[in-house]
Amino acid sequence: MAETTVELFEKAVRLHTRRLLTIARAVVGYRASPEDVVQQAVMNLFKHRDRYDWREAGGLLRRAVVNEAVRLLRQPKMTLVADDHPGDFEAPETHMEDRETVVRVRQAIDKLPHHFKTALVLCEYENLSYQQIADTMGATVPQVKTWIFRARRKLEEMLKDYVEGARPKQKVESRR
Amino acid sequence: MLSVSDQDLQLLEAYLDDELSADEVEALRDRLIEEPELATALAEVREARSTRQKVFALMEPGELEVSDMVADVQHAIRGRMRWGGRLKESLRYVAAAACVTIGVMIGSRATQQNHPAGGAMPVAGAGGPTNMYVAPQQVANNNTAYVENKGDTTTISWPVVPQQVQRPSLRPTLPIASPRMVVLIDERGTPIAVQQFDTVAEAREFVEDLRRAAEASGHTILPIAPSSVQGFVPAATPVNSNPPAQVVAEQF
Repeated sequence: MAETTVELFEKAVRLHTRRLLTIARAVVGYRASPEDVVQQAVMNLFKHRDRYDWREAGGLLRRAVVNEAVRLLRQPKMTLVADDHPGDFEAPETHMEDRETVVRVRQAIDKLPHHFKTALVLCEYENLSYQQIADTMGATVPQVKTWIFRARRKLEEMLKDYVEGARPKQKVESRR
Repeated sequence: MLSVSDQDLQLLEAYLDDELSADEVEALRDRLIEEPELATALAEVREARSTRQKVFALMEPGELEVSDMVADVQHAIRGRMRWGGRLKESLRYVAAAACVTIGVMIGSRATQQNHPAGGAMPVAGAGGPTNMYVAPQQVANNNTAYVENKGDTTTISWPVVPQQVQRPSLRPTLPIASPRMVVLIDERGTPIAVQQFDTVAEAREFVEDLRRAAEASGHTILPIAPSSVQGFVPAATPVNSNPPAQVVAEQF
């Protein structure tokens, strides 16, 4: 028997929730609840569910979550509301160095402008192409390339002292 | 200290992002063999990327969080489907009074009162049944109505109701801590249907949805001043031993 739109919708949500929550968490950081972002995005789509094909909904859901996350970040007077606190981030327990590195990198990512970190997470976590990232963010490919490049440079800059202290070997420097 | 140009950095990163063409990849591989500094730079860029990917992977929710999220969405979907049912119910009353200009307001009460005689059904609640409360239609002595047509809107005005005819007022049975209500009223201020919600935000959203749906089917819904609504006036003294009515009525 053919699945109804609601059933297909629920199936799509179940399939993509993990990654959607991760994207939301990466974009809003500690400024909002990623669960609220995903729920709102998903329910906005549900209102107009008959318009879409829910069999291949990954791109649509991703776009909705990114838009909702950015909308939330643009609201004035955002305060820290996320469940996890910068200090509570679960870093790997194997090596103290690894753990500290991960914590510092996450904190640095959180400080990036929202369009930088959105482009970065879609590139390095979702493994999307620049074109797919541009479609998701409503931008052009050159813009996306610039954002990703600048995000990486900014992270290098923020982590410069930590990296130099942790690994005192020859370091890559960019020369303009 | 090694130095790599911005251009080469972008090239290396594009290579790791899988954005280079086959020819570009081949050209880069030749360079990596001939330029050990470039190869070292690639290793460092790759390591930094790997750390970031580890960080993103650690942001992934656990199984419990995913199940909770899915359950919350399913719960919200069920609520939304009930919403659709309540919208259809309200539209039936709008359609049934097709020639009457209907007002909508959002308000609340905090006292418990009795059902009026005859014609009353339970008030639809946020999670309850979708049947609605309907006050009995007011009827003038001689059933004569005045019809006024303005553009697409037809207004039917009943003559002044004589003293001996009871004007029905809205007296649904509500819990003490009453949620917000959306009241459909006719042009005389007589309530004809009620829906209740947990918050004003929900009530407003329902009114917007109802307005859009009504307009799509050719009906008009207008705002009404709270003072013109019968049975929706703050009580001066308590009706019974319960706390006095607190009507918070908003003009919509």
